Amino acid sequence: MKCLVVDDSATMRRIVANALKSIGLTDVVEAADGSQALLACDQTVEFVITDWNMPVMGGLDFVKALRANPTTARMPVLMVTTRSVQEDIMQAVEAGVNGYILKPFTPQVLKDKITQIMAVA
Amino acid sequence: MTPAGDHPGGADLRTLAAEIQHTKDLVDEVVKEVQASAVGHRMSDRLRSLGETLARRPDLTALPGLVLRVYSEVTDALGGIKRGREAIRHVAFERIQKSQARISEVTNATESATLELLNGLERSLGLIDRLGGMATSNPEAGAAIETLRSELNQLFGHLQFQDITAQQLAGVAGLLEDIEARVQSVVSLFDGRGGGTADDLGRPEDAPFNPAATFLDTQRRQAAIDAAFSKPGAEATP
Repeated sequence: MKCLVVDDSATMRRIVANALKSIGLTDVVEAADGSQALLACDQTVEFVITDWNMPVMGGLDFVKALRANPTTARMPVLMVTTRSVQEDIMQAVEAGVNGYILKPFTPQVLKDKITQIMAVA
Repeated sequence: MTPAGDHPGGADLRTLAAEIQHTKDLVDEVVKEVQASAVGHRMSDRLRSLGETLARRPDLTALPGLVLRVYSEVTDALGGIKRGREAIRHVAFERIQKSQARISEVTNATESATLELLNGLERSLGLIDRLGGMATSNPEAGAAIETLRSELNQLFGHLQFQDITAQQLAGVAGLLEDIEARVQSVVSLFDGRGGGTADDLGRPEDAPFNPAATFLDTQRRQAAIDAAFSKPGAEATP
């Protein structure tokens, strides 16, 4: 399964990529913000993991853009962020995020959430 | 008809008329004197009032001295304002900027160290892959290698601290930036250029960091998020 990891932090992209590798997902592409991610999000991408707070285009706007495009409207998206206030969660749900993980996370939590999302897909 | 003078009592009448006229003239004089006396009283009152007013007024000869003293005090006050303005500028443009530079230095140093650690961990995992290939015939060595791999993967996860602390530090730097803008606004007031309002100084809401990022209570917060996503209709179907 090809995963797109979107985060403005180079260290976080590598950490997420390593976590994916540790659970057997080795096909990973990376983007540093939402606008780069939209360009990288072709038909070969099957799963998106995105941060919320990023320059240029944040994670929430990125998800809204994905949902607005018929070719990516049903793309599974997991939000990985530090934001946890109720209002943020509601916004993420409304934008169409499929799952939500708080940083810091463990590879096991990431694996469980990906499995849960893909089971519904 | 007999004229009055020709009347037997005519002389008496003329005398009476003359006496009445004389009396009238006397009365007129008295009235004039009384009137003249009243004016004098009014004039006297006015002069007394004027004298009292003049007595209450400051000594005009002391006025230049008074003006000089007021000027000196105003000059001192302006000097105080100028010193205050310079002190605020010092805080705004030197201390705050130094603090921001230090925060930036810490963030960069932490990021560089984290990247080095990631490089080392990736090299270590590469070596473990090679060792795993060599230890296929030794189950005990294979188990130890897998344990080591798991440990290194855990270390990878712990390096998420860098992203979270970087966001916290960015939040502090943003706060300092906000304070600097507000202090600048106060300095502008001293300069007579008018200060901005709190609304003018607002930062964009969608900042590229979360100033509330924290390591604390992650499991409880994650559970609350999972509960919100598990509500019917909350989870979008891919």
